[in-house]
Amino acid sequence: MEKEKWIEGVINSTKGKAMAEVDGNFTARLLARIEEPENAAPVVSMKWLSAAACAACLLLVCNISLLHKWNSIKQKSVNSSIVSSGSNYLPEGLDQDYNFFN
Amino acid sequence: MSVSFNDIYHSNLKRIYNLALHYVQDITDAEEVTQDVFVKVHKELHTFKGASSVETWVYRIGINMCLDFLRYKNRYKRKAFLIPLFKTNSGGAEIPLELPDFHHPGIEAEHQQQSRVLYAALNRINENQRTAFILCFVEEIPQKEVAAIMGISVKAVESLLQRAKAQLRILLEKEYDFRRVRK
Repeated sequence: MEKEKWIEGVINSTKGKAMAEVDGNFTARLLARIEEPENAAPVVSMKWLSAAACAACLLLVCNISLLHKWNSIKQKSVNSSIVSSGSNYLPEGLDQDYNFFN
Repeated sequence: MSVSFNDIYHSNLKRIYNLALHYVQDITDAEEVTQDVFVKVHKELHTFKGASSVETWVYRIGINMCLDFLRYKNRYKRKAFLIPLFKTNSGGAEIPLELPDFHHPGIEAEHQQQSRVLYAALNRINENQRTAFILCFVEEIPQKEVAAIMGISVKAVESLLQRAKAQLRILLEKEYDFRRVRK
């Protein structure tokens, strides 16, 4: 019962409240903001924006060069494996005296 | 549709400021949000086509800016990452309410402590439920108007309000028990 009364009291605590008023110089401050919106500093400065753009470009160049490098290494390894497997079929690797009619 | 900024400002200033006070629970922050709202209204006034009433449009901007402000503030709040660990279906009722250091200037002194508990509980409930509760119950705006502000049906507003009250009850019951144990 006491608990219920407390809860009701809390939920209804804002009933009958008066409207709060803003500070006296609020309108003057707002007008100053509206009249000079261009003076407001941007959230991210141009310096940081250009730095981010440069970093993105650098990352892109690094990625492309790595891809190139990776492709050439892959190509080289394929070529060398073909060359090395070819030695298995050289005449010195085979039994020269093998009798096929036996 | 020609509506002057001056008229909008003078007829909505108090309402928007009071709305911001309920959301951000700080006088300086509420003034800052109210300023942001009217700067936006001034900037976007040419886009207002009159599909809804001016009050509804201004309220919508106000609610969105209050919620954005809170999201931004909570992102940088220390220990905020711990709260989801305790959150459950009961809206985090397992931990005691953190009372805001805020006294609404329009609330009578004898109800100040209780209103702080209410504000703390409101901070724990879902954004839509909180908006429905603040607009319908605290600001006493008719449900039809609230539905237009929130862009939902009157039935949906009723349902949100019911759920908000149910959530608040759960939180307040737990808070009452915590207080009893602490005594």
